Amino acid sequence: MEDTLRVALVGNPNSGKSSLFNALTGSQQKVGNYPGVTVERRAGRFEVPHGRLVKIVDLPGTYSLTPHSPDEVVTHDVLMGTSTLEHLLDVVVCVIDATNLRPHVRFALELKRLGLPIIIALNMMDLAARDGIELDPARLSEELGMPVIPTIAVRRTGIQELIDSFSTEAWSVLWKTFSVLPVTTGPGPSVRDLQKEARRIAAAVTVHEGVEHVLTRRMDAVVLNPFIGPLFLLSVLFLMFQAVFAWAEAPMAWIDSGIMALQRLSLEFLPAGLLQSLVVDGLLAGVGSVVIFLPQILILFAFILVLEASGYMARAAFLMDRIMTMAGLNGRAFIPLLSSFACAIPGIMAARTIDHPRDRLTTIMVAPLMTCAARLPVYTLIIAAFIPNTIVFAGVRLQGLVMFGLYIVGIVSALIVAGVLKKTLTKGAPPRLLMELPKYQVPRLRDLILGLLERARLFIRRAGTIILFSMIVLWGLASFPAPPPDATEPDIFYSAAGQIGRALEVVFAPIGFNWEISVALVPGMAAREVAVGALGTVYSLSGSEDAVASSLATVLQSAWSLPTALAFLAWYVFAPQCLSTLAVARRETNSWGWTAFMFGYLFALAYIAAGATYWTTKALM
Amino acid sequence: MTSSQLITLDLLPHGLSARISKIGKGANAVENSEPDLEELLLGLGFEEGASVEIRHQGPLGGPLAVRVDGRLIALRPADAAAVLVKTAPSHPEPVLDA
Repeated sequence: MEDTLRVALVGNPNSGKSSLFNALTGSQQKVGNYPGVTVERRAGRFEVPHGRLVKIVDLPGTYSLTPHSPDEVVTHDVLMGTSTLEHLLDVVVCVIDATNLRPHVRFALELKRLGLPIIIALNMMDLAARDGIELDPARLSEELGMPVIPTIAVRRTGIQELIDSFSTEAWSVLWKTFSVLPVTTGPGPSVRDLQKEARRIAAAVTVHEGVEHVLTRRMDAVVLNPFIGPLFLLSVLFLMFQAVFAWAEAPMAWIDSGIMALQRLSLEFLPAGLLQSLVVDGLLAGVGSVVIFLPQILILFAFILVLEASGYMARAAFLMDRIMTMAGLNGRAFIPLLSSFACAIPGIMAARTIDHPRDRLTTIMVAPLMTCAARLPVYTLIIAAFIPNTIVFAGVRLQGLVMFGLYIVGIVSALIVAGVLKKTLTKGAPPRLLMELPKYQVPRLRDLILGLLERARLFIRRAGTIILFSMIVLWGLASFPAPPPDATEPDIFYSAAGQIGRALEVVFAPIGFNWEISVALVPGMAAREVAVGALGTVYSLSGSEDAVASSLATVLQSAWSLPTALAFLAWYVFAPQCLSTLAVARRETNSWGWTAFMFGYLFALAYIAAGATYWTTKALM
Repeated sequence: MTSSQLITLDLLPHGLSARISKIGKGANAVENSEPDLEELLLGLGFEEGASVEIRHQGPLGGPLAVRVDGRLIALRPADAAAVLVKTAPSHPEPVLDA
């Protein structure tokens, strides 16, 4: 055997596989995608004493070797050695949950036919002890004919033993004791036979049965109660949103002032001209518009990770399933859609937890209808300028009511669009909800931090590169060609962006948009909130963002009619204007067709909504 | 002696424990639906002889949370109908004095 050992980690979902992977590899891991499929690939490496290198891949969790979802197909093919996505394996580490032996043992028995050496990591020994379960690992090893190493991945217990078993010396001893069966082709033993055998082994290995985890049972009595449960879920969500918007405020302000300081420095030290403009308005503004959302997204992800690791996420899906089914969605679509209120990008990424492909697609398609944080600056500007802040009733002000209404319109349209899609394009058998509600666990800081770093990196890479790139392109469009010396209009009027915008006016005039709006929509493609800055540029305002926003409100009051302003608001409820969302949708659906469909239907809805708003308001005035 | 009753899992009263006697196709079995319900249920531990008990139901007639041996599994009532269970007599028959 050469000096590199290729290892795959397999097991049922919720067996603690990921914690074991983290414990084995630490920060030496890479998370990416398998090409062509939207299945996450987690790979890492570690060194065994005396210099052997172990390359380990954490295969997607599966309950059996019969694949049901794209994730399980990857696991199946890699284990069978028919996949071109991974190298052939030298050994398989099968993670078994000590608190729930029987189904896990059945899976281990199923692996026997692979003809590969298999090591069992008998994980969660601490939880087993907590529940009073007593097992005989030696007997398990004897019955399975595989080496068994008891582990507690979250406390790194048994990890060294597992690593040591890969060393050259241990290796030869180990596989003298245990023989590897030859590959079995053709149909294996039936599921029922495997189950019978697993039942026998589990009974033989269990010294003491233990009692049901009392805490999980007591917590579920509250959390899954049909009346208290939804209230509890609501308070969790309230806390989450409070955190996303309130806690992120300070770090967002620091990032903002940091970027502005850098812009001031560049203005001071770079010679005025193209380079200065590129750095200040292109690069720095581009980086800034991405990084500014990072605090919100990290807080959101931290909540999602904690909810997932604690075992609550599956329960939220359980509680929401009935309501989500009414809209043709699945309980699991709830969290992705919720995340989309901060930003559609993490929402679309979170849709991966939906195992049914058509449901996942529907969820991705409607995610941009949830009012994301980037729309807020646009809403705030227009509402402040055009909606009187009168009290409607009992202290409720009209401005707040309009803002609330815009959120509701987004949600209702998402539900309608999802319902229509499910009846037409994503039609199919009603998807099933079949999932395990895992035991409650205290999330581990280590897993949380690793998960957070990984998602931050993904966000910056996916959203960052595309936003930065498009900001620079849009900067180019807005800067060239330069205005003639006798210019009477603002510079942007003469630029390529201005010309495109004015050409677009033909399209947008029927829904009440003037050329200024049409021009601002072009740079607004980078990110929705950029439209505010772009309007500032069009109306030749300068100064800090806040100053632009407040003086812009005054300018708009005289420049726009009320129907135009309201049409603009309606446009932004639906507008497909976010290149990064489209880029992520393209990645996650792996289809240009669906991405084009998303853009098309959002554009059509935005156009119709803005037009209807414009003409109705006009008729009423 | 009370004979134990054979009913579908969705009709099992909450909190009453029973044993699985058969996994069928389900009430709303869909022809050619890719993942076979029976297979999925077997994978999650719904096997003949396993003890089951309905623990919770989601609001508005939502899914059931069923304890199957050591696991808590969420599934919709329509799919639970595919599982035939045998209830143990809930109260032991009063033994008449001999």
